[in-house]
Amino acid sequence: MKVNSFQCSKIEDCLTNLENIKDDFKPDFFMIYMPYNYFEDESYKLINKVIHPVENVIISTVATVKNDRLVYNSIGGVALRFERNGKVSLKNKNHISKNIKNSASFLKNSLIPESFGTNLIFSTSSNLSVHSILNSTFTKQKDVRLYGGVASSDAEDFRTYISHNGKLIKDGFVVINLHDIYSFNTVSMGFIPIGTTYTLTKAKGNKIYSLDDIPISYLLNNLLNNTGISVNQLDPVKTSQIMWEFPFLFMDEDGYISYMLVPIMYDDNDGGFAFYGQVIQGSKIKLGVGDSEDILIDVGLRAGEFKQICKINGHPDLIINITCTARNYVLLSDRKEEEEQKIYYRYLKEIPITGFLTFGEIAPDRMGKPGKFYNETSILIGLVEG
Amino acid sequence: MNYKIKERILKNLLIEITKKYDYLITEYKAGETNKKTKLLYDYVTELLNRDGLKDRIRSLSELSKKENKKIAIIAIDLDNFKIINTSYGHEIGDLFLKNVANKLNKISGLNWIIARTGGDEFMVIIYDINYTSLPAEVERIKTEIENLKITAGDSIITTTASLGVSIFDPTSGEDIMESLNKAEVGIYQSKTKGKSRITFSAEKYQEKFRHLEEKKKIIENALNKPENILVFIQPIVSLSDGNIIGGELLLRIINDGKILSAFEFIEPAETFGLLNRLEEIQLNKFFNFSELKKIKGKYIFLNRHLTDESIYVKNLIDKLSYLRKKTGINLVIEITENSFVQNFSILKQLITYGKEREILFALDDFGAGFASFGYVSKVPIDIIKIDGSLIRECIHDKKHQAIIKAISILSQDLNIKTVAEFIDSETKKEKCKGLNISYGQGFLFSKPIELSEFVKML
Repeated sequence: MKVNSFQCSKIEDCLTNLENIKDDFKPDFFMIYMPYNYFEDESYKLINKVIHPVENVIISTVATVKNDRLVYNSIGGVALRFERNGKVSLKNKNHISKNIKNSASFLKNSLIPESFGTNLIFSTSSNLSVHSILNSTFTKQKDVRLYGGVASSDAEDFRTYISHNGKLIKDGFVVINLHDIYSFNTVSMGFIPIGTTYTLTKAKGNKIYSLDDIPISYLLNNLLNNTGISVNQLDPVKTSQIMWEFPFLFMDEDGYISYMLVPIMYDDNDGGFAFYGQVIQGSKIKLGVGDSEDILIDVGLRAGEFKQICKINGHPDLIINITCTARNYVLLSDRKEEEEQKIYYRYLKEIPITGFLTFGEIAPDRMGKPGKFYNETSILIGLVEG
Repeated sequence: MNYKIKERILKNLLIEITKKYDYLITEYKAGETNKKTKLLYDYVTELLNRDGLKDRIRSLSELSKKENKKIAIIAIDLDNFKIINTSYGHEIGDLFLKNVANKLNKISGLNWIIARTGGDEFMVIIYDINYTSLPAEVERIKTEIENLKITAGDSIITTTASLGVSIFDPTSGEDIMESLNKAEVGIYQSKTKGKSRITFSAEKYQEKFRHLEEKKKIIENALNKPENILVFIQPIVSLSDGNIIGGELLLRIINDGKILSAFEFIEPAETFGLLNRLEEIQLNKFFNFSELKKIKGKYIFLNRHLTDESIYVKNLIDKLSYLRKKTGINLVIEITENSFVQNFSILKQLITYGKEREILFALDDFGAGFASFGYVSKVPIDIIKIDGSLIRECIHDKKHQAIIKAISILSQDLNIKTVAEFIDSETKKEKCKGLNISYGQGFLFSKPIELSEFVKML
């Protein structure tokens, strides 16, 4: 598989770049990431015109990644051309929140098994729906490689977009089947589990109401004691400022930490603590703690691990880095927002890296169980043509 | 102290509290066992902890003094465990420890005690050790741990292990705790020598272990170059008419131009789990022999160490059954008397399975161990090979003559053929013939020879 990745700050440069890639490189597939507002002006039409008729997906994001560079408000992406047996096919589903069961069935039928290749999924910021769909899809299915993420944006209402061959999706996802493209991955979390394990004794949708039969507000009050902040002040902004360094780590039944979610806000009306993903009653969690230092230590470990995986599985043609805006926010607070990509690059510089910031990440967990939905993580996916 | 360092120390402290708190919760939930017992067990692996082990070995040392039995103390340290914990998190580290504990439990014998004595330290105590088999047993423990793999996503987690071994001799006047300390010093020595090593506190064991390691290299070289694995056969002759009825297949390895006999490498091959591969090559070479047709109708004896791994044995029987039909050669699986007794119930089923597929079974080294005709009468054995030690002394030793005579009479009643091994003189041949033994094997008839020479003898 040949790869041509790009990253531009201006739309004019991007259009020229895409035109050249289309004419000279003759790609089979374009994957493009760009700010949400470009979907709402002329840029979207112009890009679609340039890349037509090549199969494509365009995802809104707040920042793009190319090798060691993370650039906010940029347009980035990658063009792929298959050299051997590789092939791409795409499917999309809009209005997923209306019928989760139907959407889960669509997803299940859209995935190719691991022996046939790799699946990517990119969704709009319908986190609860996407997480619910994944949880419904992956009850038994195990032999599937699925990676992806939720589009991001810095719009006030966090609206996001995805486009598949010019079709705009506002509440849905695109599934990309990469036939005969084999993959491997690692997931960096970097938050340290602290304290005892709690059980979600009352939870529904994306809200937790009680832990170990005690209202969640009791725990939050304890955590916020003497900070000058009260529980009912935990709106989305305050929550991101205070609680994103304390994500909730969800345990697998085998006793290890499987995935993590960050909270959105505390809802004073019903006493629920809302998260950027589905929380299932009966789940076991631990609180996590970490800052930029912990995140970057883990990034180093995972980069080393990934390099080792590459040695075993073969040199990938491309690495996709999907990393969370919440994580980037924590790094940004210590002025280390570009460090993660620099560390990855230090370990993996011989392989092209492309990626973008997301509102949620999708990958197998540490022990390889597929279809996990995360917040605040960074995923590396190695792709190699069979 | 700057803010970051302080914060780091606080985090570390919190991690420690977390572990302790989880431990206490687990302990609290395990309400059924009494408090004293709980304090003697490791909550992660459910093995004895250090205090539990000390408790047990103290009483074991008293027993060893009464019974005058030696105890081996094997201390194991996982070389990479701290990296596993750091890289994958302590929950996955704990999963790895559980796997190590399960593996040790799986390979343990009835005379073993296993404990987790520290974060990444385990101990195996073997009561009533056998001098000759101990180095192999220790090597097996190391190999099993080092072959252990758990997959974490696309990563494979493995470790090497450094081992220290000491022997508690009840006649030495030493306290068993001193032996325990010596084993732990052995770990330290193994680590300073470069990890993934075994250090015995006694030189004689260290020597035996070095010998095993050398043999392992020879076997691995042979497996990489199968032309260095030779198939020899020792003819088996009818004592009544002198005709060759078949022969026993024997493994040979060429090393530095010298042919090694089986006794020089079988034990290490078994220890390192390489015997099956050697035997597979032996079998394939035999059935690819260009003059195989000349052996049709003969009885070929294959020495196989059958254990309770029934899937492996059934596969072997199926393969032999297929080859028997294809070539018309009668195939006889030899089972040693000891493995026959140790795995009696499973082997009984497997022998029945083999008989249904027209595979014959011989009981090897009969008369030297614990098998009795009580066992033999319950299993459809076809042939008994009388232990060589009985034949060696059969001319002058009346007791041995009596045993051979009894075996012969009972075998005839049970319709079982008999083979006398180690016949190296006419007098022994005549003595065995006089005792109505069916067949003979030994240097009188022929030493082990290559297949091409065997065919010429037919």
